[in-house]
Amino acid sequence: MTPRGYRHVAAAVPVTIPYVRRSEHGVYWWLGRALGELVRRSGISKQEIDGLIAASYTLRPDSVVSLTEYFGLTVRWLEDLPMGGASGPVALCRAARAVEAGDAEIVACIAGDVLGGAAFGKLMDNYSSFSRDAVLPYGIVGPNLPFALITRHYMERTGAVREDMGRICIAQRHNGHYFPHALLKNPLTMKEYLAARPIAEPLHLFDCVMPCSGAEGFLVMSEDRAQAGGLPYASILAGVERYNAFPEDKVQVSGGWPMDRDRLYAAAGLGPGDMHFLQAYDDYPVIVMFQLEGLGFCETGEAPEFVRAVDLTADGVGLPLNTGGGQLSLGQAGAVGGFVGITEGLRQVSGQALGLQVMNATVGLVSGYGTVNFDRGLCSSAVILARGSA
Amino acid sequence: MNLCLPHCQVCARSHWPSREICPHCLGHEIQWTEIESSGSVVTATLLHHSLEPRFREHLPVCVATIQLDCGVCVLVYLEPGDLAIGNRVIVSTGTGPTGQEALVAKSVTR
Repeated sequence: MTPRGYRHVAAAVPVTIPYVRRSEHGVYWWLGRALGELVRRSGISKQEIDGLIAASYTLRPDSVVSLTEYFGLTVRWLEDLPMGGASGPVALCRAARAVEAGDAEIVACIAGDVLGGAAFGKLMDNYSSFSRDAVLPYGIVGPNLPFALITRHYMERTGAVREDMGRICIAQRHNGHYFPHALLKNPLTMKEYLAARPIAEPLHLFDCVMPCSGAEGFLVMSEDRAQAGGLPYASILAGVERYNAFPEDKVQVSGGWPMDRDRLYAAAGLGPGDMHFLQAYDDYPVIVMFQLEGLGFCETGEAPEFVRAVDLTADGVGLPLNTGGGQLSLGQAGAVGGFVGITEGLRQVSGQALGLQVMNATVGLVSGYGTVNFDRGLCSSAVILARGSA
Repeated sequence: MNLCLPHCQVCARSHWPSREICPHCLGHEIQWTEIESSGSVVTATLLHHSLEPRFREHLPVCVATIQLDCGVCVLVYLEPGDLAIGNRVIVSTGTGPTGQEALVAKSVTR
């Protein structure tokens, strides 16, 4: 069955709170900064926000419920997102459905996480019970271990070489060079990429995101409300989620997108060739390759050839990829990485890019991926955004 | 030392990581059972970095995914010389570089 789109729903006011490496502030400060910016920039009062959905690892053991009291928000619709890197598209879909159904009128979607003190180490120690029991004893490495294993397997299977991974990192750094909030801005050369120190072979330094602190947010409301407020917005043409796809694969060779992409494109009435950009989840370049394949931009196993042939820069003539630089340039602020593609996608389709603006971008795809419970990311998500017609 | 894995008493299949409910049939009677400990290297990495300071003096170390002949995949420590994909190994419970309990694999040719 083709899923329904999200009729008369608008996503607006993409907010990125400038990241820092280590934060002297707590996670509530970051989440509150995002919420405050949403209110300030939309002209919509805090009292009008009647829905809240949030993603944060370092908020635990508190939850999104705690946020309502902390920020003095009284809402009638509330959701917590434990999907990490898949959380942005999921937040958008859930909020859009709630607005479409009339369960909420204005939903604030926020993500915030901090790196400071022992926060990262504690997060890794307690990330999941499987991880603690069956992964952590093997080097106490964090996510570099499963992704090194996935990357090695992918390279052996497809013939991808390090330069192919490098092309993704270099193109994104080019985009990040122009993005004001990127922590890593210096252009990256292939020579520098290849000469980087090994972390978990075949992963080297520039294949890994830099942990940091940050927050992102956006609002979901009716098109009428966005228009009345004079807010540039995006429509949501389609969205999909998938959890624990292909559990029989002995090592992960794709996310869940191959199960859902036909429904995604059918609901939008568009195909991959119609997308003006791809905001792909980029914790590691191999996962970008999974999205290029799984979302139909190339055939399975052909992403290495694709990245050799296609310009991935935001001001190029190919497929603009992670036009704000992605997490590989911004840094990864925990679950906030799951929101990066949405805020950047919203800026692109509404002509509000902070860095490079893709020429005439009116429709684009944002995908998310995350939550390595044992040896693979269990969550994948995707949405198709289109410029709202005011 | 031989290898024991959680084994479902209902559908007679093993799984990993350990669960109290079988992921194949949702059976709730799981017993750790000795299994055939041979398998093959599916993928492997040489680690040069750890979050844990006391681990760093042991680096680099090799960690691999092994598919046991019963079909279950496990993470193990492996000798760096054995990390070729497809390499046949025997998996047992042993200790990692810092003395903690861990699964270790040895090439059958050694």
